[in-house]
Amino acid sequence: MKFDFMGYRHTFLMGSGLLILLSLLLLLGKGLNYGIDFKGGNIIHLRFLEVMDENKIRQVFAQIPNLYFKPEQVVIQAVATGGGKEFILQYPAPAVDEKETSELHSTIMRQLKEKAPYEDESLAISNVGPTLGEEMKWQGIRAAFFSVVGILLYLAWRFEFYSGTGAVLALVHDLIITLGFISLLNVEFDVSVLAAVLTMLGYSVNDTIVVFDRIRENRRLMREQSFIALINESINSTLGRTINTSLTTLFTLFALLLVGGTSIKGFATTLTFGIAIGTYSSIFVASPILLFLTGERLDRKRR
Amino acid sequence: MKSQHRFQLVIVLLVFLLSLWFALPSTPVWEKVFGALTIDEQMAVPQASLQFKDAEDGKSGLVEFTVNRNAALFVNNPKLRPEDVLESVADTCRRKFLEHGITAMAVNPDYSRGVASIRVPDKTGPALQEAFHSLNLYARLPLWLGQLFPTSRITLGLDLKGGIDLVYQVDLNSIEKDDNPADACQRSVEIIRNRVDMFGIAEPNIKAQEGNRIRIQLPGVRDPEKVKNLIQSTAMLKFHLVIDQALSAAQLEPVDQATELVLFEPGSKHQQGKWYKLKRTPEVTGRDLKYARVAFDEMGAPIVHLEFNPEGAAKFAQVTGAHVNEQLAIVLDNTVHSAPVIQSRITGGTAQITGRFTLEEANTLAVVLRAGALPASLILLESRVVGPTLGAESIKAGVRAGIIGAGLVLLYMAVFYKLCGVLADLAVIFNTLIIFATLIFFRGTLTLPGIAGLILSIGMAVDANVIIFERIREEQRTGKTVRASIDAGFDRALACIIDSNVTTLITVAVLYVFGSGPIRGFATTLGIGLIANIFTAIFCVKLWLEMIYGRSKATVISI
Repeated sequence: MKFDFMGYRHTFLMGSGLLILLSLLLLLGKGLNYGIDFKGGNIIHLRFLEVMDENKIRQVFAQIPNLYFKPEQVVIQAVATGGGKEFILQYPAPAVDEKETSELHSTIMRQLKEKAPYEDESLAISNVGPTLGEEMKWQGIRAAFFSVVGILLYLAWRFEFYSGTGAVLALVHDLIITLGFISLLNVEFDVSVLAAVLTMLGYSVNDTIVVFDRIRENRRLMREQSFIALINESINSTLGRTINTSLTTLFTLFALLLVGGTSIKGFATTLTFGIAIGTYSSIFVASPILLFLTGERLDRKRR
Repeated sequence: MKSQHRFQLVIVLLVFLLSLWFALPSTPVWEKVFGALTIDEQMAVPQASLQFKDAEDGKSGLVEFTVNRNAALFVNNPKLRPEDVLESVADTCRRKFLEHGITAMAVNPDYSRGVASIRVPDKTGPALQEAFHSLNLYARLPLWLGQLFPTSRITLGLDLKGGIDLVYQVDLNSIEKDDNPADACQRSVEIIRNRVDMFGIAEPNIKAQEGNRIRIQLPGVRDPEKVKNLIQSTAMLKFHLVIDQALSAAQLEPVDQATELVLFEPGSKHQQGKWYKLKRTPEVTGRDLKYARVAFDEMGAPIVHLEFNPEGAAKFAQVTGAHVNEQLAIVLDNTVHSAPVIQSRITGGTAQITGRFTLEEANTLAVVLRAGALPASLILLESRVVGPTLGAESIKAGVRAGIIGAGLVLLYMAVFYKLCGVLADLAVIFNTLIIFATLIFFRGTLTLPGIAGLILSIGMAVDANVIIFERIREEQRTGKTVRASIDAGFDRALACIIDSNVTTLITVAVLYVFGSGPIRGFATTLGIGLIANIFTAIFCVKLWLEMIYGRSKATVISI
């Protein structure tokens, strides 16, 4: 079975363009929902001994003296599997790191414990001050920068100019649409989601490399064919591989997404989407761009 | 079998056995056979030393065990203290009880006798004994068998094991003017380490970081607030003479800032808070302290007993002699703790801080005073706490996701690529085993994202085999023989596989360098997996295929 991928290239490129536009609008308008890793803040994940509700929890906060935030600012989220006892509470970081902040966190925990007892053993608290949040943001930007540069250098070394450009544009395509998706689903952008985005970049280039490698090989073997037919042939012959490897990776990601636990959900969601879009782009974005950049000229020469 | 194949097979077998040898002690199977306690612990705290008692309330039971101080373990390793072993055994025991749904109420180690007891609710006598034996703490096979395996186990990150991870900023505004900042940080680290050690927290990791920061990682801590308190309190103890006292600060005006100091004494149930006007220069400080310990007054209430060095004793005698019937305020971290009236000259070089302590508070205070005051106050920048149950649940969820994900991948490969798929499956399992063994060998840390990386690498590991198998199929279609197709398939796919691994390795390397603890764990497992994959997916699968099809007259590959 052969599929004429290149015949539909305009449709897919337009679709991708639209997705990029939507993603950019989302990113500029709504932006990313940064987690406490990057903006500072406090998360308490706890299991109360009794069934609680949002109101009761807010009341406890209202009774704590000298809070630097309003009780209404506490974000209260019940954990679906927790039977009304398990909650994730989030409150903002103070404006600056101070000696007194630590004491305040302690007071909050003491008051919660006193007025609404919780299990000590199944507690998770993260307090990140504004200083570290700001630093982590830079650290994250640096990490993203270095991985992109690393991948670009590798591509530059590995491919000639046009294929390299095609691969890079596909990469940018994947990055923007994945970030747009994160923004759309309001996934909390924490360190693990950043790791997922970067891993996705490395993985998405894989697929492109496999297709391009085959194009290069076929160029030598099938000099008679038009470039369009050659690309179609290359994509079709690597299609089994592309689908199978993405599927096996997606299997493991689905498993993580469904039963891996709450703290890994953002990571699994991002990577699942990223790998799907990366597979799509290696076929429907990278190759048409390559064709656009070199192919049509080659065709003319042959005629 | 060709001699080359025989040699390669020996290598594969060796790698397999070596990996198994490293990984086995960290698996649940090991606990079932050789017990949850390490072999050393089982010899130092033999099963015969256990005693089961009913507690005095008749409703709970006590498991009591004794450490054998003369065990070969302590003779061979003089640095290891029996207390540490006791602590660790008690901790494992508590953890195992918890896994069986029993929350051990209290662990009470008595270091002087080398005995620890664990109180368990709702279980007495025989029921307790039965529950205890179901914990599988002790080996069922002879111990020497277990000793053939390495003692190192997989290191779990704080997010899986449970624990507390703190980052503090040393507040340079608060150090003495003539103090050197770098030196103050280093001393703070030492003092915190002393406090944590004295408090009996196992395996602490405390180090100074860039920018005058201190990072403290403590595994398995159950009461984070108490620990934070222990670390943060500067423990600046001072004795000031009292000039005046009143119920509000305003009543003490005017205050001469150069020579006088106004501080608050917090109230209690029976007493209102009070303000004191004190002489600014302290008469005696915590620096002159020789020792501090918990004692009890005649009412049985806990007090902290202080012992001064000769210099401190002399100062103390001088000031108490000169100011009989005046008040001497005991000031701790800029709060008046109490201000007793000096009855007579105190010459013994000892003093007591009394009143309003619970035993635990008195204990913490004695520890911090003994370890010394921090040269600067600490500002908490980040604190992450994970309860042990939550960590255990994360492991369970991760394992479940791993089994489901791996199961799907293995099944898919076997269905889609038949015999070759099964070989790829074996390679993936082998790959996972190698990741584990390498992690243990290099003492890497397994974190929650690390488990995700491990699971992800299962899905990615078959990638190489898929590329090869697809290639072999194509070669077969062009009418090549079995041997030629296999050779061509592997040869042509190699460059492609290396390419695709390199780009992922680039990101993994960046994540390793820039990532913090948990993310670094992700980079580690995924990175090891990708490298080991070249051995398992290419070297091993090729060997197996050649061995199967080398002699056979089959004309088609089961692919």
